[in-house]
Amino acid sequence: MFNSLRSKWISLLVVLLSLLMLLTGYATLKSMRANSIQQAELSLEVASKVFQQALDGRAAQLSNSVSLLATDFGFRQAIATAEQATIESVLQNHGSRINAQLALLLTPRGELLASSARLDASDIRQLLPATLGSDATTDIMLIDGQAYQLVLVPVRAPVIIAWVGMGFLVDVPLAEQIKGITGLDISFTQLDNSANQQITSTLPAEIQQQLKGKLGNIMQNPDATHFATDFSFITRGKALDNEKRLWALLHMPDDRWLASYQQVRRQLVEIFAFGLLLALAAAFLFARSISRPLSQLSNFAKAIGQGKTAAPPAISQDEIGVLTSTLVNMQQSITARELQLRQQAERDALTGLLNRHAVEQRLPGILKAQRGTLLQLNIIQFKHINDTLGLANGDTLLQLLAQRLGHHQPAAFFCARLNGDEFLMLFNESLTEQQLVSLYNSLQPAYNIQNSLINLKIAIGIYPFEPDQGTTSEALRRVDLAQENASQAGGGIAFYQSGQDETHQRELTIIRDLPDALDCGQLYVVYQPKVELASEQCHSAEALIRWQHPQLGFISPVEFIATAEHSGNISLITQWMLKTVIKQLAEWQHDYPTLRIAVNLSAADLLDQNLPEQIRIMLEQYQVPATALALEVTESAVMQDTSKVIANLNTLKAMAINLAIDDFGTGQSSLAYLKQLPVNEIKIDRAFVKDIDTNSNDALIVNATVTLAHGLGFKVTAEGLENLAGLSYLKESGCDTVQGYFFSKPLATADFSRWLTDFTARAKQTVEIPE
Amino acid sequence: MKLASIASALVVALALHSSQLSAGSLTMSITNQQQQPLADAVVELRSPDNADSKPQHIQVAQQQLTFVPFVSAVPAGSIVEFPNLDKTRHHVYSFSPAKQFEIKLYADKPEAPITFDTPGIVALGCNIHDYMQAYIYVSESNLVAVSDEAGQLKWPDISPGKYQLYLWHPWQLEPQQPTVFDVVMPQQTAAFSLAIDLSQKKPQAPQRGFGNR
Repeated sequence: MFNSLRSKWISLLVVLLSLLMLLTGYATLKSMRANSIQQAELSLEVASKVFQQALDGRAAQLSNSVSLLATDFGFRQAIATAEQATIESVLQNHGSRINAQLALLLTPRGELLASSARLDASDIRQLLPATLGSDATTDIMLIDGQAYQLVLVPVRAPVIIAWVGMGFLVDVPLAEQIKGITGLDISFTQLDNSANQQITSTLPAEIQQQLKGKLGNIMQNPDATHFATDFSFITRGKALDNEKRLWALLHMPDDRWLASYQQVRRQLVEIFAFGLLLALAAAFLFARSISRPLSQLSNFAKAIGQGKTAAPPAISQDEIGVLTSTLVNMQQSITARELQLRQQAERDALTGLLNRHAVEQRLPGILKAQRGTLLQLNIIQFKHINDTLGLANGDTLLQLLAQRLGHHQPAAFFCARLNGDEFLMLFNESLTEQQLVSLYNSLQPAYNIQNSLINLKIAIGIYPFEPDQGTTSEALRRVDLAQENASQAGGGIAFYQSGQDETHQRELTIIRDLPDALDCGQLYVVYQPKVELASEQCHSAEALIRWQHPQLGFISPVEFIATAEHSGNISLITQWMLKTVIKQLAEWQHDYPTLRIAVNLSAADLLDQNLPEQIRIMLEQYQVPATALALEVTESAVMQDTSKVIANLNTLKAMAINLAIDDFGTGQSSLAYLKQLPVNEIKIDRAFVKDIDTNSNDALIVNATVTLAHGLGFKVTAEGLENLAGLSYLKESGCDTVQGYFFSKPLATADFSRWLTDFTARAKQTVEIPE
Repeated sequence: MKLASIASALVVALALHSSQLSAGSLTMSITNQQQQPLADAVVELRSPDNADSKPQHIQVAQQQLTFVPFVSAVPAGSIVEFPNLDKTRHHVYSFSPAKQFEIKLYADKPEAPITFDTPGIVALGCNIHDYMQAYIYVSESNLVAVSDEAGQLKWPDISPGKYQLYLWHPWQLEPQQPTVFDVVMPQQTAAFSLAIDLSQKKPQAPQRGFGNR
């Protein structure tokens, strides 16, 4: 709740103000209360004096009356008679004249002569002091349980012959009379210890009852002013007699000063409430004047953080203004740095051209909206150049090339270096052939690297595009394919041909599906028999792989093996092939113990030093003699890394595996290698065999080859014999074995077994029945 | 003229004494507790030998709204006149047990004098002038006198012997017990002291705007 600056401000102000007001209110009310009490006491003081005056006035009045009575000659005469009956009747008579409730007569020495009430000794004793003087006295006394204002006057004739006393009850009528003067209620009570104290009061009866409850407390200290919270009168006592046994209690209603006290208190509360509201409003406004710019600043800072462009709040003259301008500066710095960073992120550090990332950012918009031409350039054999010149010079070369690309006219929309020696150019137009050639030519002149002039072969792939024709990755792949084609052509310009992309997709599918296809039996092996011309018998065959793809249908082994070689998966196929063939050989060992099956190896297989060991393990596993296995390699495969391949072949030959050179005559191998190769056999390519009956050159080549091979100690197999006519040429040339459709197409396992059985049987017939 | 008649009465009394006894004179001086001469003190000398009453005839006048003299002393049986010398009327009364009487409003001279035949002290008052007071000491003995302004009492001719001496003053604080007093010498003096209420003053007419003046 107190987290925000605003609520903190408001709380602080409100607390301070409340404290101030409470203290003020407390002080005011306290002094006001003290003042009120003082006033009340003063009022009571005055009332008490007025009360005393009223009592004194009445005493004087009564005293006068009694004194007058005492000088009445008849009265004196009657008293002088000293007759009890006379005295009593004259007392009664004269007492009633002045409405006295008590009349008594004493001797000059204070002995009782006559009384209208029954007096006891103590009553008389309290009168005694008055009789010692010679003047009239008044006092309030308790006589016979009643409070009287008693006037004692000497009767002179002319010496004092007696004291006459007249008593007037101190009672409600008297209190009412005095209340008429002072306006205060009066109660009379006696100070004695009895629990049931009597009071005579002008107060209403129910309040008298309340007063009785408080009387004990009040009479503890009757002189003081008494305030009681549950009693609506302020009370103060006044002693009536000299011995302070009789008390008048003056009651002042407290509602008068209480009302003004309460009014002031109410006003204070109102002022407090009003002040609080005012303070709240002020605090709210003040807090808002601080917190609103702060929250604007906060939003501004947040926008900066999110990289949005936001207008800064107005810059004021205070500290917030300083903060605002700091933030504005910060925003500008961030924008500048961001721009720099973006540029750095988009640029290739070496050449200063855009990088692949920037290309991927920009291409989608361009491809969607417009037509244009995408060019991908590549330096042929750049790795070789790098190796030769060194990396630093290679880099310089790339920079020089980038400069030429950048300065080319018409200018490209952008130039980029994708990676290594690959560059990309985008033109906003369709380039004419002439323009392309001019571009190509502009890159041809030699590049000066440390005063050496280097000529480069550049391959350029070109992909003209129409608006919304494909995705960025498709465009990049297509231009890459085109460049790939150009590269394969050894440089120059190649356009993307529609469909290349689909071929590429098919290759990808083949690469993807091959491992699973091997496992789930989509691939299978067929066998093409090799017939020995001399004996007209078949003791060997070439194993060929076939793939029936569920979606793509029959896939040519040329296609998928090339793809596998390209993608580095060829060893998977070789391994599968070896395993399958060796397993089959194991099955055929019983029926055809002399049968030898040849498996083709690719260049990658020949470079694998582990291959001989793997083959040995497989042969052992299936109990197949090494002589039952033949391996065929192409000339070009051998040419890859001759020494390594020859070492491998030696190992294999040492294992007694029959080795053959496949497709002999088509490769670019030197005859010098041939004598080094540890092979048993060469297979003349079908190109020389299939038309041997009509092409005399072919016959010549075959003859020469057979002679050469036999000379080197190799057996010779002719591939691709298709008709009977060819067979005689081959026989004539001295070929050892022949393979081809003339004898049999490649056969599935079961078919091959059957063919072999039939062929063997027929061969026997032929032997038994010569032509 | 009045003074002359009083003086002649005194002369008569003294003549009687001297004729009876050939004795000396007795002078007493009375003082108050402050040793100041005390006037209006009454001394009565009683003796069984002196039992015969010799009534007197005196006046207690009302003059200038006071009784004159303030204190008188007479043997029992004496007659007292109350002549009114003022212009106003007076109502002289006494409620004293020794003599109760009342002479209602009168002027000049009452119809009859009052005889005081019972020994005792008679307080005189006037019903219309409450402040007026006077005392008449009615004695058993003939030997009774009132001290003058100098506190002096004098019996020019008194028989020697034993007397009961009674001393009284209207303002005395305590009643005095009789004492035995011997008269032995022809020229004898005695002195007595009496405590009185010093605050008392002789009654005087209030200074009022109207009265007899």
